[in-house]
Amino acid sequence: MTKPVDTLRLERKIERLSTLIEVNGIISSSLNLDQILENVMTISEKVMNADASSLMLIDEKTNELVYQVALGAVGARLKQEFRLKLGQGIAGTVAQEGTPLLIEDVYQHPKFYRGHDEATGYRTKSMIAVPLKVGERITGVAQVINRLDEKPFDADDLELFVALCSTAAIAIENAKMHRSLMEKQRLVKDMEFARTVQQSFLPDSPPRAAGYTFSAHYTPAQEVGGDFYDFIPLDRGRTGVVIGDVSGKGVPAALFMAKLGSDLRTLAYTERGPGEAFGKLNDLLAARSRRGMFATALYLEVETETGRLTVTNAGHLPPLVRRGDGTMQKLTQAVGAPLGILPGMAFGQEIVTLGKGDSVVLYTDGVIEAMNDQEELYGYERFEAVVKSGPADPGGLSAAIVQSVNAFTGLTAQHDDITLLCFGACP
Amino acid sequence: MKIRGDVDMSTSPDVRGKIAEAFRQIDAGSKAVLIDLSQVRYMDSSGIATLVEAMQNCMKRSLRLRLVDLSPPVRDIFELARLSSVFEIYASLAEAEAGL
Repeated sequence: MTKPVDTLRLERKIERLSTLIEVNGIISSSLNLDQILENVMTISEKVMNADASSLMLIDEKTNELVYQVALGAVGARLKQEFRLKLGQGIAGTVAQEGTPLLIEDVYQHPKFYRGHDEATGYRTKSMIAVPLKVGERITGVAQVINRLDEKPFDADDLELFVALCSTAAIAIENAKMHRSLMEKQRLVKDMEFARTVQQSFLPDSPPRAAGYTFSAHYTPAQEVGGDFYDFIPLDRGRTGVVIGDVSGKGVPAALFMAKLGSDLRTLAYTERGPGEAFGKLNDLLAARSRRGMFATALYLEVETETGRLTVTNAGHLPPLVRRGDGTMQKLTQAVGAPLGILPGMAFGQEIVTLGKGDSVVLYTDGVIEAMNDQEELYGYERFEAVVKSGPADPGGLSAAIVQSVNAFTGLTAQHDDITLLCFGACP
Repeated sequence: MKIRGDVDMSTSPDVRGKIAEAFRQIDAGSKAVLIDLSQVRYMDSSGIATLVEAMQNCMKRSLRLRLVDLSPPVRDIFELARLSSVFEIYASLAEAEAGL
């Protein structure tokens, strides 16, 4: 006795549903995105009895559909060259409208683009295109092409493929989230490494010189910033002081900083003064510039015996001199371009004399741009007010500034390093 | 080309990509690359580094890089860091195009 058609259809459906349950397990078994994409397509072809399949994910940056996997005879050739705008072609239309499409004869469909067939020699006949959805968000389009039995796809095929794609969409999303989590962890590790490198060449403690006090305060940002400073012991009772800020963050900035710091330590001895040292340093850095990286920096030499201070500035915030009488002077006379941009730049020098009770204050923009929980900036006004009213000894002045910044920012995490150097002749 | 919006750590890779794309489309007879910055309100050091790289690339090809119509906050950043001594800066497109 032959079974009625309906029973046959039902049996086929049950068989397909049980395959589907099995398939769900396979698709969700990996967190590797490439593996999942490949699994989805292999399984689609097998379950749907299809000759070829494709899977496109939406590139959120460009809002285009991008070919991820292509199996079947011409798959390898198609893989490299496929990008579709939303609304373009069949897949683009499905991605835009979010409704599955069953097409019995694609050459009759107005949106079908024959270019790929012509380029590859493949003949697309019947196809199903289904949007991949996570909630209401469309993340891509999956397609199966040409049934192996040469018949066009039918409504049962459509129903099965829609079910398969809903599992696939979630598995793909999970894998994407897993991948981005992994990338974030890698970034955190990079940042930790950069921080170690950066802090390894900051001086352990400020220098001691007869009658002078040097103090340094450095708070690294949560993400690694590009601040650096150094004290360089020189001959004839001179001490070099450098502070700077490298563009960018992370490992490249830390390495740039390492080069800058070690080159300057040499040039501080061999060149005749801060201006010439920066001229040579700039040439060395500009000659090996990568990705436009540069630094703003100040270099000062102080003769502790005479109080003579020689300053040169490469695009950095100007040093402040707080006189013993409470007045304040900004040293803005010798400012050149930042280091590492163009070779052949000249750097001038400004010379002032420090008396007893005078303090020099050097800082990075992290001080000025320190932010409170209202997203307000600490700013120059507050900064200069503390510099003028703070204690006369450099250590005390530094502590007063740090306290003022901390009182302003509270517990708000800072985006940039905060570096503050104070030095001067003890009163 | 024209840049819009803030250029900081998170957006400067995109700007870098766009500038690289613009470089690929430069004709053989071109003399300069003009970048309009009137719609950029904020630029951090990574943004400036992107422009520095663009300038260095221009120099390798004997092209000039001219920055046009800096918004007041960006102009302040450029003046403070003395970047005006390394970049060619013009108030308007017409002025930037003149004398090329």
